[in-house]
Amino acid sequence: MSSLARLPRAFGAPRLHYEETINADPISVRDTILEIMRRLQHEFPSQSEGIISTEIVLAEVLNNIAEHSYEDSNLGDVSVSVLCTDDMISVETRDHGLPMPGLTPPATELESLPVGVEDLPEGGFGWFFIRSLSTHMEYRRTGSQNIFCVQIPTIPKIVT
Amino acid sequence: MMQSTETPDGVLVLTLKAQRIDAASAVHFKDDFRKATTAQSGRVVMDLASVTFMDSSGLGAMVAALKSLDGRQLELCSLTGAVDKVFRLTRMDKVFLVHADVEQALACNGPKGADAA
Repeated sequence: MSSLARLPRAFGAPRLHYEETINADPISVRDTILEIMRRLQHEFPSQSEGIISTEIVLAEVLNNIAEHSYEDSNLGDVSVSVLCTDDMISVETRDHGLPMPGLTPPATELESLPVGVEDLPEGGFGWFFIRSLSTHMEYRRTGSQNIFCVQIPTIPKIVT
Repeated sequence: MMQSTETPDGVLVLTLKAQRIDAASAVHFKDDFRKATTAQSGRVVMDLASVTFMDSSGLGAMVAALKSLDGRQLELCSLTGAVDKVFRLTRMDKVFLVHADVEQALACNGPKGADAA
């Protein structure tokens, strides 16, 4: 039983509950995101900003698991669960790969971009996107399992 | 995943045929970009109208593409939805030269013309 299913009662009755276990590889991740997007767009046709944010967050969270938790082995399951209310899209993932270093999501702040093109970063955007687009996130390690929850408002945070 | 054409003025226009530049396609994107631009020294204009989604891997591939041009601009057109969002969040929309669409890109004189405007 997903802890997520018990969590967001305060936000109103769930309008969509998706749960699936997939292999943690880039193609399966993409296919699952497309399926979740199809359902979200059907349920919330007018809330495109929150859905765009959710698509980005899902991609970063699931690809992080494939790349870091399972070290790009393309071997390992991840369970993804998405629960939506009128106000909030909640995503929970569970995997059995490596724990996050320091048992905490990396604290990444995007510094002001360097002036020289040669110094521009080619990575490290993933956690910046997750943090920027969500209002709440939580990680815990239980036994051999990583559990990560993140909540994205259907009406987006103000981005300045 | 991209179709390349050259205008009579020597502007290389790369039209993306893929819908997603993500973890599954970023390497392919970088390879195709390098092949398309390797023997070319003029302006490079990329049409992203067909691209509906880009993640951090895709954005990293765009930065790698820009760097591979050795100081030349990579001009981008038709950024929509998630693509527009990842560029704005990271302020990469200020690093790349962004046009509304290809027509507008070709109407201006490239990076120099846009700077003067």
